[in-house]
Parts: sequence; C-alpha cells; structure tokens
Amino acid sequence: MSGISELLLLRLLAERQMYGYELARAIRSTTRHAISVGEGVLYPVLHTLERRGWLKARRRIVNGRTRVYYSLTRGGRRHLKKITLDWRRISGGVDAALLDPRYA
Amino acid sequence: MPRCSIPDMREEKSHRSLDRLIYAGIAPRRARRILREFSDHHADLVAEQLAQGVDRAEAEAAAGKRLGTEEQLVADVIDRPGLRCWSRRRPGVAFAVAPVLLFALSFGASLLMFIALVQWRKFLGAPLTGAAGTVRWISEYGAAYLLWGLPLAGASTLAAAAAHSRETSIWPGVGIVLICVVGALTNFSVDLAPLVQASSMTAGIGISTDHISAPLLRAAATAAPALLAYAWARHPQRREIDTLSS
Repeated sequence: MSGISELLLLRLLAERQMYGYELARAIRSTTRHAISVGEGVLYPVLHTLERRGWLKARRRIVNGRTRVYYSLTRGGRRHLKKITLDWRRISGGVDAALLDPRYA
Repeated sequence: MPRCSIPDMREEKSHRSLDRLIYAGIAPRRARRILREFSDHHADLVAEQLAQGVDRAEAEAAAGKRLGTEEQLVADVIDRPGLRCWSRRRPGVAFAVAPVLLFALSFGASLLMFIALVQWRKFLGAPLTGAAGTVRWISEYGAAYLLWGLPLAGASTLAAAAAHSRETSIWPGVGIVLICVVGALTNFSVDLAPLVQASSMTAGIGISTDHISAPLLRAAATAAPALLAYAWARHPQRREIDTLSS
C-alpha cells in the first residue's frame, strides 16, 4: 500500500503543489473512492518522500492558517517516471493474467 | 480544584505523542511538524463535516474515522527508520567522533586566530612584548581559553545537544569524556619579551609519563560539570521514558 500511496502522491504533486488535506481529497476523487486508507497515513509517506529529496515542503499562510505545501523536486519527477513505468509493467502483467481466457 | 477539560487532554496527548516521536529518534522540528499537520488535517475534516450540517460530535467522530488516531500516526512514523534523524541512526559518529573532531578543529582555528593577531601586529610594526594589548591578552587569557574554556564549552554543548535530542545511548557520555581527555592532553604557552629574548607561542598535544596525574585531573575537572549537567537533564527524561513505555 505504501508504494501505491507514494505513486499517487507523486503523480498528484506533479500537477501542482498541495497540502495534506488537499492531497487526501484529491486521492479520493481521482481514484473514484477506490482507495480508502486512513488519511493520517499520508504524513509519514510525505515526510519520507521529503527526506529522500523527492518532495520539498514550504509553509504558506492561507486565510490566516499556516499550511505546509508539498511540491515535486527534479529528483521526484525522475523517480515518478521510474515508478510509473514499473507500475505499468506490473499492472499490465496482472491484467494480462486476469484477461487470459484459460483462467477466466 | 483542577479541572480536566477536553482541550487540555488533547494537548497532553499531543505532548505525549511528541515525546514518543522524539525518543524514537525523530528530529524535534519534524516531529512537531508532523503532529501539527495531522491536527490541522483533523480541523479541516471537522470543518468539512460541519459545513455539511452535522453536529460537532458527529463531525469529530467522522473526522477521526477518516484520519485515524494520533497513536496510529505515531506508530507509523516510528516504523519508518528513514524518518529517524542522522544522529539517532549513527549515535557513535554524531555524539563521539564528530564532536571530538570539531573540538580539534576549534582548537586549531583558535590557534590560527592567535597567530593571525600576532602577525597583524608584526605587520603594523608594533612590538611583540608583554605590554602590547593583543599579545598580553593572548598571554593572559589564551591558555585559560584553550586549555579549560574550549573543552568545557565543547563538552557542555555536546551535553545540551544530546539532552535536547533525548539521546538515550551512552555515546554522549563517551563524547564528553573524549573531548575532555583530548583537551587535557593539549598544551599552550606564551613567552614574552623582555622576559625571554624573543617572544614565542607554543602549542601541542601529548602526554608525559612523568606527569600523568595533571592531565588526568584536568580531564576530570572539565568532564565532571558537563557529565553532571547531562545526568541532571537526563534524570526527568528517564522518568518520561518509563511513563511512555508503561
């Protein structure tokens, strides 16, 4: 599950910078509510990605509240490309197995 | 009569979570930020529910269900070794090797500063005698600073840093002793004209087997205050660890 969260977070942040609550909402809407994990799980993943240098965090004050916005770094974009290819290869393989008429 | 309100309980819980994260090796700043983001997210979820017309109790329950508990968050963060700070992953390097190297560098840098000051006076054509302000200052206070002040400051800074990061290993103690032993092996002296023919400044590191007690006493005298301060700072922390693990 951690790998999926990582992929989704990097993919969403490739579009624009977001803070935790926004990211949780974006995950729910883009996955059509298919992925429902405790939203608190996002923070350890976000901080791990930041620690690895794939995300950078910046504080911004919005409507009087401090928000921590995350955005992708150059290294993060490279990593996203790599794990997207990995994911496509794996999901393609699984799809091929599932659609194989011999096992249908 | 003390009252126990819900916000106080939540604050206490957050304080406990913060302590658990810091003791687990998460940098204090990162630990605070994670808890702050989590709490803001909770507030956003509650506001979202309230906007949909549900009452506060229901909104809080729904927010808790979607977000998970703070205990889960703390456990999840602790489970990720990658989030632990560098000093916790390599305490021997952070609290023993690096501080001793830093101390040696500070000693060398201070000597270079003294040499630069003397050379500057030479360049200006000023006499290098005991009457000269800079030279007299180096002669009077330089030894006290290098032989006592620097080891004491290094050991105390290390003790404060270790207590701040709630380091639980023996490495800070080892680091303090090493700094003070290395500090006790150093020597520095200034001989000024006209007492000698030409003013000179000597510094070095070494031990004489004939006079082994003097450096040992110096090491003990500089290490003791830092070790005592560290033990004093660690005492309530040990009680906190017992409380957190109970």
